[in-house]
This record gives sequence, structure tokens and C-alpha cells, in this order.
Amino acid sequence: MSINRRQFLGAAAAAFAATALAPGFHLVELALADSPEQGASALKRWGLLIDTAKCSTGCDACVTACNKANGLVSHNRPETDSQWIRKVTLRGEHTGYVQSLPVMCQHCADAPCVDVCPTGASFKRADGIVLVDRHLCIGCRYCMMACPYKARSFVAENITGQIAEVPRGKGCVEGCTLCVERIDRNKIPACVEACNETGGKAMMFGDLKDPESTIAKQLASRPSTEIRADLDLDTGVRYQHLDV
Amino acid sequence: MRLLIAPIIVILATAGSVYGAYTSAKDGSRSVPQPDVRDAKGKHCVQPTSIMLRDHMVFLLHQRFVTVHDGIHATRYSLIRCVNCHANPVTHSVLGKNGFCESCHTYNAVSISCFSCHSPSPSQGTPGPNGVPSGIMESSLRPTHGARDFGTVIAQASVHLVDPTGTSARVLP
Repeated sequence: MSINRRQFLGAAAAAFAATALAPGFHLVELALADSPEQGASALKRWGLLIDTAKCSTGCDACVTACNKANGLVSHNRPETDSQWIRKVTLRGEHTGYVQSLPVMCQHCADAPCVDVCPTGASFKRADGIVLVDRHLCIGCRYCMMACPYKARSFVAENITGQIAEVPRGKGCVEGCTLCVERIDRNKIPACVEACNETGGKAMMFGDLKDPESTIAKQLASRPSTEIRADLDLDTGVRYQHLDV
Repeated sequence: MRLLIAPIIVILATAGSVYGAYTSAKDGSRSVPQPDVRDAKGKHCVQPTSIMLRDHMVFLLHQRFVTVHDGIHATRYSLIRCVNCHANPVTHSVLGKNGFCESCHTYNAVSISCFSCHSPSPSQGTPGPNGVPSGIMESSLRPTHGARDFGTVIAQASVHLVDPTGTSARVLP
């Protein structure tokens, strides 16, 4: 068997790459590094499944829990107050059917906010959580323009009394982090916890990539939808019984 | 002419500083407020003081990227842990006139922006700096483990923390 020049160069490059890896550095081990204390892993994709049939109009347990967990304080200016999650009520134009659902950052796989960010502050973690790195954010608000879900807020006021695990301050854009600091410590997002404890048990959190997870089984067995599915953003937050 | 002026300036400056030191010593006060860096709870810091004085910002800068982007919450150079240990016991803050961070940065005329976002007060809730709280999660997820040492995590990621002083990192208690 003879090999041509191109094949030879390819094989040589592969051999060089294999030997150039640092000693003790194994690609397979890196791929298996999926436990929270080892950081975010691309083997997981965190997501939410929200059953709007169980979500009642009068309940805002998820919003209250989010505000408390992340230290979001109202300045009594609803137009500019930070809002990481909100309750939206829909009323069918022809049917009059009223639905209530929580809307937050949908943690898109193809996130428009990440596309437009000029500094790299908007980014997607390996496990699919879309975040703002406040160290890099210059507060230009392009991401707020780009987001089809109005999921982000701009912090326009000086903030004191932050929760130590949730740093936030003036001049940066922020949004739902899926309670990343809780996820990294093996806790579920505050909204989901509150919904299951005092709300309508409408929210479910889990790993979309794990076929054995409850959320993946639910998604596989019943129809669900994304909000603005026409944009094809492959959101990490999905809804069941949503009639739009 | 220039050769003459330079020594005169030096002599005047020296005389001024000597006189200043003399008057300060005489009335027992200093004209510049000294940094108040006494507050610390633990027996020793994560690195010797000489290294921390020079390189604490390097450690924090490195760790902040690893934490925010890679989700690795190591405790070794965690700002939360700094604050938990160094907050003033009276004001519960590293800021203010006697605050560990602010007093030294004021003395050195360096402005810090960390605390426009980060809390200058010790962490109130869970998790603590050394522990991971219990939580509810799907059974398919791994059980809760203790937080890992930063050095271990970094070594696994095959990234090496720049240690400009060349000293090896001490293992935390």
C-alpha cells in the first residue's frame, strides 16, 4: 500500500499533535470531567422544562425566589429595575384562553446575545448556560437589543449589599444565570426549587443531554415547544402545554 | 548652571523630608494614614505575606476567568474567601477607613473596582468557603463532593498558574 504526499503529511501532523500534548493530559479524561467541582462540561446541557398547564396566573413564587436568591432589589422603577425572570400572561385572541408562564433567559444554543457582544462578555459555558462576564461587559446593551426574549436588564444604579456568591454592579448587563453558582454546587435553580415547594410544580431542571434524566424523558415522551421556535435558536428552556 | 541647581534641589528635598519626619515623630502623628492590615481570622494566608503583597491581583485575575468561564469554583484564591477572612470585625467589611483592602489601596493610591460588584462583607449564606451545601437534584447527577483545591483543578486542566516568585504553592489546611 502506498500513501501519497497529502496522506503522509496528515499522519505526520497527527503523530506530532499526539506527542505535543502535555504529559498526563488525556483527551478522554478531559471529556469525562463532568462533575460540578471540575467545572462546566460539554457533556451536559442544563435546561428547564416548564409545564404551563400547572403554572397559575396568581403565582409568582419563581420570581420572588429569583429576586431573593440573586439579591435583586427594586428601586420602585419597574421600567429599569433588573428582572431576571418574569411572569407573562397570554390571552388567546379568538378563544380567550388565558395562560401564565415564567419567561427568563432561554439559554439558546445559538444565542444572539453572544453573537453581537463586541467584547466577548456574553458567552456560553460548556454546559450551555449563557452568561455575562461582568469583568468584560462595557454596558453597550447590544445583547439587550439582540435578545428576542427581552431577557436581559441593564444595571443603571449603584448596588450595595450584594449576595457574596452573586456579584452585580452598575454599568453591566445581566440576566438569568440559571443560578449557575447553585448549579456548580449541586443545587437546582432557585425558581425551580420555589415552584416545587410553594408553587404549582410546573418547573423542572435537568441535563438535556442525559437520556436517563427526568427532563430528557419528559421531553422525549410528550410534545414541547420553544418560544419563538421560528428563530431556530435551540433554547435550553422549553415549554409544555403552551398554546401560541 | 544646571549642575548647580540639581544638588540644591536634592538638598532642599532631603531637608524637607527629615524635618517632616522629625515633626511627625515629635507630636506622635503621621501625615499619611497608614494601612490597617491587621484583620485576619486564619493563622496564615494562602501564600506568604510577601507574595500576597505583590501578587494577590495576579491570583485573583487568573481565578476569576477560570470561575466565570469554566465554572471551577476553587477556594484557594477565591475573593469570597479573602473577604471572609479579612473583613473588619467591627464593620464586617474590607472597605472603609480601617478596611483591609481599602486602607492599603488608599495608602498606595491604587483604585480597586472589585467591590463595585463584589460584596465587601463576608458571605452570609451557604455555601461556606470550605464546604458545599446539600441540595436537591436529580438522582442521575453525581453526589455532592467537597470543593477541590485550586492547584489540583488547574493541574487537571493542564493549565499552569503563573507564579512570578518561583515559590511552590503551599497546600491549604
